Amino acid sequence: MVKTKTLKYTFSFILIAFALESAAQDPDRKGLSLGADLSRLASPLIDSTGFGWEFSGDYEFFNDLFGAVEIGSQTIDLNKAFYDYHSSGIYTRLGAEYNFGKHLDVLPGDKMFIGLRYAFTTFAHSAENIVIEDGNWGNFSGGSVANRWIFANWMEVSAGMRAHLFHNFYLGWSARIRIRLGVTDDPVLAPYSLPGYGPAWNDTGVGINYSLYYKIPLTISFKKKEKKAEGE
Amino acid sequence: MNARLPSRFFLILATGLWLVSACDVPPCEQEGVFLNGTFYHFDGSTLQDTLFDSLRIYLGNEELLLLSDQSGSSVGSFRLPLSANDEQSRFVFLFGNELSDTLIVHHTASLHLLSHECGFVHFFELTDVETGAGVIDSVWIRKPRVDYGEDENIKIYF
Repeated sequence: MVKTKTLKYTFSFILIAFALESAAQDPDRKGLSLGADLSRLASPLIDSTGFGWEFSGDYEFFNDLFGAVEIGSQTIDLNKAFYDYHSSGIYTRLGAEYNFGKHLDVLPGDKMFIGLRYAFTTFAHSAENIVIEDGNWGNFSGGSVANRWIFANWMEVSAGMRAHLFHNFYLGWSARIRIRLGVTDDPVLAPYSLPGYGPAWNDTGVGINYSLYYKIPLTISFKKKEKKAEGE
Repeated sequence: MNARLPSRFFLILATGLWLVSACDVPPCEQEGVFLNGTFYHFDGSTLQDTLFDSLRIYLGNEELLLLSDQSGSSVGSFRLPLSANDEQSRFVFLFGNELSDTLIVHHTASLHLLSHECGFVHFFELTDVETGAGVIDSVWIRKPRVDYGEDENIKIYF
């Protein structure tokens, strides 16, 4: 457990340090940013019982106001001496972000933002070979539960930053506070972990993302227009 | 303002949030899940706690002694394990040497995966409680959900 946490923190600090050292030299430009959550891709190295992925997209519709969408998946496979548990599902987040970096005089291309998300997930879970020791009434053994579907939704408040690396690549992170709105009340098998949210028994949760982005430029930068004018 | 100053602030904030998120796994409860009950009697106009000098509780058909309080101090509450292999659990209460009654608790059970290490546990939902023709007057289900903790689930009236 200590080794797992050490690896997580080391990975986190390496990525954050890399982001902070990057300097945006390119002018600010509008475009569609597509991102991949690197922490999701690396998590199987730390915890082999689960894996998932998350991709995102955002676009600046108005000045410093971005629309964002995130789609991800989570799978959990547990094979223990007293039970087998399997869970798999997808989640979606929709929301907006406001870039307040200009008020802090950040470098062009960098972004410091706060955001809001509405999120929901649908997943199926099942369990087999369940054994629960009971010295009073006798052990409960051989229990199994076939696939049962769960739906949950929640709100997220986020804050983070994004820094320009090179060309059209950016690296960023965001911290999230999650507030659960609702979850299916399964009377047979209670949900364990909600994809994209975390432990199902928590009414609130926190999370952090580390993502690599590629911005597809949709407009020509101001400096390039000036250079063209000078060349003419 | 230098852009790196607020970014360091958020670095600290994000690290703190991640530390918090890594510490939200519930501990393994070694003692299990119990139904908690308390004894009461109606003293004219008010409800009073009821204490017994001696209390023995048997599981099922008087086969297993669940509780025997001979410490000399009065007993006013108890906790009972429920059966996950059946939809009812039966108990026999002996108050002192003469008074007795039977308690049958009807319930449903649901499975909860606590954590990778702790595995599964049953939580229960009380649906009905029956008593025999003994000293217990009535039983009221105060909190139908039986899970971890010491919240009172049933009130037994004399």
